[in-house]
Amino acid sequence: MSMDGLAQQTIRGTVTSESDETLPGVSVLMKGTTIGTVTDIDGNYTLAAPSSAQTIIFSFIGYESVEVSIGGRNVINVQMKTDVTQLTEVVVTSFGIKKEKKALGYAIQEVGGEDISKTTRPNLINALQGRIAGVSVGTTSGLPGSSSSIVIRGGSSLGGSNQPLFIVDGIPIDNTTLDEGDLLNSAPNRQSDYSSRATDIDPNDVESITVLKGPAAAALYGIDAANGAIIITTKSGEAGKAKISYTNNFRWEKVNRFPDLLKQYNTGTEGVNDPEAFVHWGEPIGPDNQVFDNVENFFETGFTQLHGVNVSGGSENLTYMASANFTRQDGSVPSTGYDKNTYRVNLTAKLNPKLKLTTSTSYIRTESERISKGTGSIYANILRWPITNDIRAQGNLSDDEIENPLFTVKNNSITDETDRILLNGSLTYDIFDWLSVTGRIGTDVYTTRGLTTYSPESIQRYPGRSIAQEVNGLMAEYEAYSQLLNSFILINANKSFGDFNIGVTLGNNIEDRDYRVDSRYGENILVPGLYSIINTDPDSREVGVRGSRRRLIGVFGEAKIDYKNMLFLSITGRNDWSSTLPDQNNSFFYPSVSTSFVFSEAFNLDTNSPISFGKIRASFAQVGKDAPPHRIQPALQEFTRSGGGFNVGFFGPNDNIKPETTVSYEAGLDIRFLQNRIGLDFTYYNVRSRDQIVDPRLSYATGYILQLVNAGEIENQGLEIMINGQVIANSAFNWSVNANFSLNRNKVISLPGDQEEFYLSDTWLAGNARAGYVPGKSFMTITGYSYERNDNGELLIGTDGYPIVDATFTEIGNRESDFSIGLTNTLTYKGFTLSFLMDMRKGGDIYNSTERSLTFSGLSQRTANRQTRVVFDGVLESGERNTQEVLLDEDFYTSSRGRTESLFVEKDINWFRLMDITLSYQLPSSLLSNVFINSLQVNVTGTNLILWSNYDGADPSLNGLNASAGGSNAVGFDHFSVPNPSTLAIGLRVGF
Amino acid sequence: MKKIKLLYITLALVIMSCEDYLDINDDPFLPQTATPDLYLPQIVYSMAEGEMFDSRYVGAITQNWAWVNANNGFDRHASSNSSGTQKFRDHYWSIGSNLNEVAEQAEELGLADYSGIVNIIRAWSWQIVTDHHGELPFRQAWDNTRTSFDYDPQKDIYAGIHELCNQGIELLNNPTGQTDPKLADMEKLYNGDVSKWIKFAYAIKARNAHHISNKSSYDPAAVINFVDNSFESNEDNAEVPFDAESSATSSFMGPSRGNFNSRLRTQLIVSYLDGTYFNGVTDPRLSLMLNSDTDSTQNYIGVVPTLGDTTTNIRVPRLYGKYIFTDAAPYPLITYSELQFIKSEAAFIQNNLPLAYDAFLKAIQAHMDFTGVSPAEATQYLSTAIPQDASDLELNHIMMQKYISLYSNNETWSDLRRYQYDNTVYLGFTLPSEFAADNNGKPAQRWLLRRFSEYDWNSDALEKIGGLELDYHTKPIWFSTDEE
Repeated sequence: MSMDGLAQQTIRGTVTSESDETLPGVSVLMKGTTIGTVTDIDGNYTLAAPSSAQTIIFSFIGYESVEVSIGGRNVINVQMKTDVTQLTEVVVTSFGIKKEKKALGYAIQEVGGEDISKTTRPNLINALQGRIAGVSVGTTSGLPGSSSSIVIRGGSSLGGSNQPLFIVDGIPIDNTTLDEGDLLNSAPNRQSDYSSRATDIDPNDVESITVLKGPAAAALYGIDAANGAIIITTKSGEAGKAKISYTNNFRWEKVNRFPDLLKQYNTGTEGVNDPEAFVHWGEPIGPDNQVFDNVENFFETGFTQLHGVNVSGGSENLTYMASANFTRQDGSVPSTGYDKNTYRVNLTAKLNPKLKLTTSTSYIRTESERISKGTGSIYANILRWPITNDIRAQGNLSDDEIENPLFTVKNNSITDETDRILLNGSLTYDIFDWLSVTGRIGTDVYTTRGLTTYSPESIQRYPGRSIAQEVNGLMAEYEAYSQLLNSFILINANKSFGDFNIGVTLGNNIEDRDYRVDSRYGENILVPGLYSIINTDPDSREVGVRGSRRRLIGVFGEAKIDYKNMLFLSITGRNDWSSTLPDQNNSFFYPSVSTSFVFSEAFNLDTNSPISFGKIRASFAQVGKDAPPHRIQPALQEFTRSGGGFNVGFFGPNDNIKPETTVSYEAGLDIRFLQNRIGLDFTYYNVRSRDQIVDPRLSYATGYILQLVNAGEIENQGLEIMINGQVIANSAFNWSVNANFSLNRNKVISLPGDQEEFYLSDTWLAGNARAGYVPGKSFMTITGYSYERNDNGELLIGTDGYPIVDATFTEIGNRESDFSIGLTNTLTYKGFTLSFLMDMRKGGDIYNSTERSLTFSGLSQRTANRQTRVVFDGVLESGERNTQEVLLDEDFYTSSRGRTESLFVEKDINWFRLMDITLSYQLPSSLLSNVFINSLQVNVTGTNLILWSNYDGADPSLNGLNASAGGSNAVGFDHFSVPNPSTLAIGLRVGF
Repeated sequence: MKKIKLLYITLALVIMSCEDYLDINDDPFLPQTATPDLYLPQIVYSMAEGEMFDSRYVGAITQNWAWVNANNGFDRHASSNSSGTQKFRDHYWSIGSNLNEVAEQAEELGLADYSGIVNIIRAWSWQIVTDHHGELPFRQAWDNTRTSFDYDPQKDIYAGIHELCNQGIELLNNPTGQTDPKLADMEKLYNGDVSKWIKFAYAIKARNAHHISNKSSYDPAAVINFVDNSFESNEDNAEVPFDAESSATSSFMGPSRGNFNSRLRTQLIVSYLDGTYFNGVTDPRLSLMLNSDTDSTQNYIGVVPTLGDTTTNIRVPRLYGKYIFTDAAPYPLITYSELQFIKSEAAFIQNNLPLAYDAFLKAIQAHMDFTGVSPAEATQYLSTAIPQDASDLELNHIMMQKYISLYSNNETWSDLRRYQYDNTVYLGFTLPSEFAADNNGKPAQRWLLRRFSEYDWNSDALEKIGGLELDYHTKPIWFSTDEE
């Protein structure tokens, strides 16, 4: 053993740029091994290497890689040349396996942790929008702690989740958004929101995020990665003296886009004023009447503080990184907030030269204060509040049926708090220099406790239960327990035979997922002010428990071979056994093949030729997906009405369920010009998901309402183009551009049975419009009511002169965009860096249900033409042209024909959003030479500062449900969700 | 060889333990099956649920109530393929599937009585659902291996109901297996009293046999016989109780559930109770069944269907608070009173007026008792409001009094359909001047089938019976016609 220790050499040094500035973050790797490190903030590195090591490779994005022969030296300083040549870009792929980018037969994209953290967005999912081609993020609302759904390359599941798997340091973590179906009142996720749990990861801790977009990239991760995977690598320490850094940001937020209200009419009906009414169909407001901007008066300026401390360092055998991050957010709606504390310790220990242990431990606590959303929510009441009444001076309205939102936020509360522990350890043993074994185990445990209280004075009704005032106040609480345990064994072998390099990976994965939600409800708060279930009327109490377990065993392998570092082939296979499937179908195998060919290497294109790098790639992959737990032979459900007991649930049994299958093909071209100053990357993909595990309604004659079946097929195909260019590159001024273009076309090929439409019932939010699937149409179709038209497309007019409503669900919109572009510009001049991301979308329809409600209330600009007479352009059933003049009045605008859903589908919505902009200034190190501070950077950051859109509503990117919704979800359904705020932050980063 | 053997054994152990490891697909908190008694509360509740739910719409056709707003479609006999289809869902799922479980579990445990009760509840459920919709999947019902179903004629369903009742009676009269002590506790309709279940089966048979009064095969003697074997007093009424500890455990008809907010009583029911048609005698049930107006007049005013509440300041009160419109009042499925009205009508058709009159008096008295009228007031009413001589009894007396006693119950719709909404049988009953557009000028005769179940999967079968026509709900229903 001791001999092994002696056979080590320690090499240290400093990496600088041509302009002698030290370079942090440079990858330092022993050639032919996996031993490596990165330079610290001062460009220093320390590397413990076996004495056999000959060569060190230094690589850094934007610089030419350098290979240095060790030649017995202990100190090796390197100067790197600026170059966008990135021939040996290294990326993190499945299981943290770093691969050379050129070897990959599929598209993969990376974002640096700093790009995420400098946006000051507390939610790292939101920070990904626009940064990765093919990724689309849907925010539920602009409230603190709101959930976000993330979908890569379009949805492939009709009813299930389409979100990717989140992996932190090689171990899957839970990204559940609480599903209200698990609560006592079994609500449809329309009126409440809960955080997406991936947002518990603090952006400050993130070293890098790699997005595995398709089944090929994620093949080894198996069924949970069928929608892709987001691989997060957290920061780790480097050998050397302790480095301390402190980061802060002070951030102000303001919601500054609201629907444009018509402020011309008094409250009332039929042209008669009524101060108690909640609709604006009264007389025109005279010049003497005061009109209030209640929306403006209600919203506040939110304020957030973000602080982060990071300590790292270590010795040759032990490196550490410890961090603590604090977020304190007060939202722009009074009483809302989001607090997050995270603590993390990452350790790497070399137990002996062949044995390495890495661990990461983190504890996270978040607290959220929320408000309701959607129908009857605070925001809905603010928007519709009588403009002639000052919301600050008014009590309840409409005969005590509408509660003043200011009262609601002050007296009722919706809160939740989460405690979470992420533990992860991995042990690697290098048996030979070509063979290693890694064992890894990780657990993710959290508890979320939620509490909703309605004061005894409140006239709000708890969904599905009582009005608080009638029962002397009420409360509902829940605890969600989640436990996710994963173990992996990986055997890696790599060997070269002449011009061939061969690598084989064999692995095993066991996953155990346990989820449980306990909920309670009670009425009549006996001792005022104490919201404890013990302090409620025992007869009113209800309890509920829901939960699920899933276990999965997987074995997988990958064989890869390359020829002369220019022709690469990789074959993977994985077999899973899932507890959720019937015994005879619970084992399933799926393969993938990917290949790439670096033609620039093959044709010996040197860096001076116009094409400096070129690669084509192609892949095929298949991936299976199991069923939701406990649904093959469904359990009984508890009977909650008189008498208790149990009854048969909605779902019929189905012992023939087999795994659903996704097959994907992908081809790409990666080509770079002018010494790699310009890079283009094209990807085309086609993904078909068939034998979908869906739960359509049955004919009730079966004895059941719904049943899990294998049916239906969806196709996604798309194009992604990534362009990066070094527009200007010189020692003083740098300007680089990075553009992500994505285009996805999504089609429902078939549905269960003869169904003409399969819809997501939760998305049937308001009015007769919903996310409906129609064969041959887009996956993102909106179906709903519209006006009847004849074969020539002309409106059919009834005998009363008004258009006739077609009360059937037909396609009235498509939420899928034509394409989207994320464009990042980074300009650096001396110590200044200006970086901004623009997010652009072309096309895609939005159902503006908010406007539809405002129309009913007489507050929509659409009702400005009230009391005018028009002739609808259309034909009568007889075929004659309509000539009848009709009145556009309250009756019209409050009836179904004046508010027919298709009228509120806004077509071809484009947007341009200045997502993130950061200006930072790094103080010259010369200024700091005499103080204990090593580096100091100050920055100003803005998010959502500009939004240009042809959308009439407030914010085109909201979700009518929350991120727990599966299938095509309710992104593109705008129904009283608080818009995303604009924010401005100032902060600094100090290194000690 | 030894090594290979060892390898096999190891492999076998690994595979076996993997199977065990993965064998967790049963829900951790909910049972896969339960003892038969535990299914009964939901089943008994569902026997009333569909009736209560669908009465929100059927009550507009029968003019028990009408919408608070003018010109409502349901007031004008519109139908719907979603609203008013709860019975359909309950019949196949809430009741039907759970009865299948009860029968299976009871047989496995060797328990008596359950299978008889299962048959009788199923007969009841078929009766109310076919009277609502007409043709239905009958022979193929509950075949979970099918995705689409044929529709059977109502005649076959009617015959099947009789058969189910007979089987139920037979099974209860000749029990095999042990009596389950939990039955009495969990079965809330009759607390496990087998003799009452047998009477209930006869009550269903009476309703069933009486519904075909327009056919030449109608047998009033058989109907009277069924009635005589059924309930003997209000004690035997089939009433579904509610715990009323919270809105979830309260009656669907009560204020906590708030299901009748937009419906107001009609002038018709007021007129049947305020003496308009009964010798000017104010019925003592008026103040027990209906709320007086919201102003201080103590008057009773009802709305006229399709007109909405035309009073100033909305004087017509909501339905809640009286009679079965409270949180805790049990919901009567079928009562002794109704059965006596059936007997009275059957005897009237037989031209046996003394028998008809006797049953008529018993029926009214039973409903008076049910409503909580004092014996003295009841006697006073019976001696002044109605004919005092059997020979003066007219059909409209029977049917209008039955209308009162069935107030809120969908069975009135079956009666109205048998008499084609005849306003010589129901004095003062006026069909809406303009039916809903889809009706093509005809009154409602049945309810449309449930869209998300039937239009999606059984459209072929529906098409054969005209079920996809927009005016299918105006197609006469078999039981009410003279067609055999």
